[in-house]
Amino acid sequence: MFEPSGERASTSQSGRSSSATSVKTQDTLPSAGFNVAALAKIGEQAFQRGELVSAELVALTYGALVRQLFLDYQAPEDVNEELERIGYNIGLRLVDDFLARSAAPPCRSFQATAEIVARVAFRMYLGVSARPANFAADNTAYSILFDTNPLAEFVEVPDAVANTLWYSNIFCGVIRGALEMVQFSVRASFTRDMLRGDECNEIRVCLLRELEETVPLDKET
Amino acid sequence: MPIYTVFIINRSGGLIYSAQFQGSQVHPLNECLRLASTLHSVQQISRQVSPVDILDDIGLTSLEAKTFRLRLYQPLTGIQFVAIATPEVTDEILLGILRRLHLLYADYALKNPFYVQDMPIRCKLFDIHFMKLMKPYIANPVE
Repeated sequence: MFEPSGERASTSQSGRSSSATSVKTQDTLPSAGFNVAALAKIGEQAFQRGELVSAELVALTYGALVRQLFLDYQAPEDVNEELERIGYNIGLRLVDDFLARSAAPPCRSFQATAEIVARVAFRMYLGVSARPANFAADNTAYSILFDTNPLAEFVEVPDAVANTLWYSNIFCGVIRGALEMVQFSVRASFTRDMLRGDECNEIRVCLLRELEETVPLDKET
Repeated sequence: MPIYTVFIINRSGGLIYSAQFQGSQVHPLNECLRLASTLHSVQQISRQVSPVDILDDIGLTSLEAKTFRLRLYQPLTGIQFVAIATPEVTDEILLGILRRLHLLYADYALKNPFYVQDMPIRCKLFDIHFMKLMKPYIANPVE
């Protein structure tokens, strides 16, 4: 279960020694210096190693949750918000599981999180392939695109709420919570959903700020 | 080749789990709290004095003395896992144990919905699996 790799798994790190500030000024580099195939493999291995739960069970349980939230909150906007909040609390905790199990190389730039979230985390927890895309010019935003959504397999959203409800909004919360624990405060939101007839699912992740990891020594003067 | 002490320290330097095993001097809990937060501070300072960019340096990871070896493992979330053992326990063994401890923490503390993050770990399942993990490395548990 545990690779005898270094303290911070040291695979495919070429080009990652540059500091966070210099990365920001670079042109968009879709792979952020990662070996994409290697990342996909890491995700796949972690997926195989983990305990698998029936996708149907998860989809139905999630469906029941959304349905219940509808009964409780009525307004689809509130349901979106509540799903995001639930996801956030999951993400805060799940990220340690991810770090302990995935052996993914560490992210030192925001841009790098795109690759890790899309190629490793989506693969590992959902068993689907996702890809990062649409990087903003200043690298403070990116999109995660995926074509299969295990949560939405049996879902038909009623017309009345079709344009307000983001059925799988829990994903956005998970991403926000998980990234916050590794010092990136972000806002994540669905921009496209196949349930609305779009050709793929798209989650937009925007960096709000990088959290200070330590208090700088010279702040007291 | 026994392990003396295991600490888990949260992001703000609070001790959230401790275990001390026979063969070492056993410290009262208050002293452990103080030790843990001091260690946390030292670890933070060690990152500040690093000559390279702070993002690329994780600071203090191990400390060797004549009579013991201290190993510290800090995943990206900032929580610290610390083990103190006799010097003949190698660095790799200690790191392996601490990584498995991280996994136990993720499984039996964080996934327990009634465990509040950053608070002391009082989860039966965690204790059970922790003892299972430590068994080969200890004589008799004190606490």
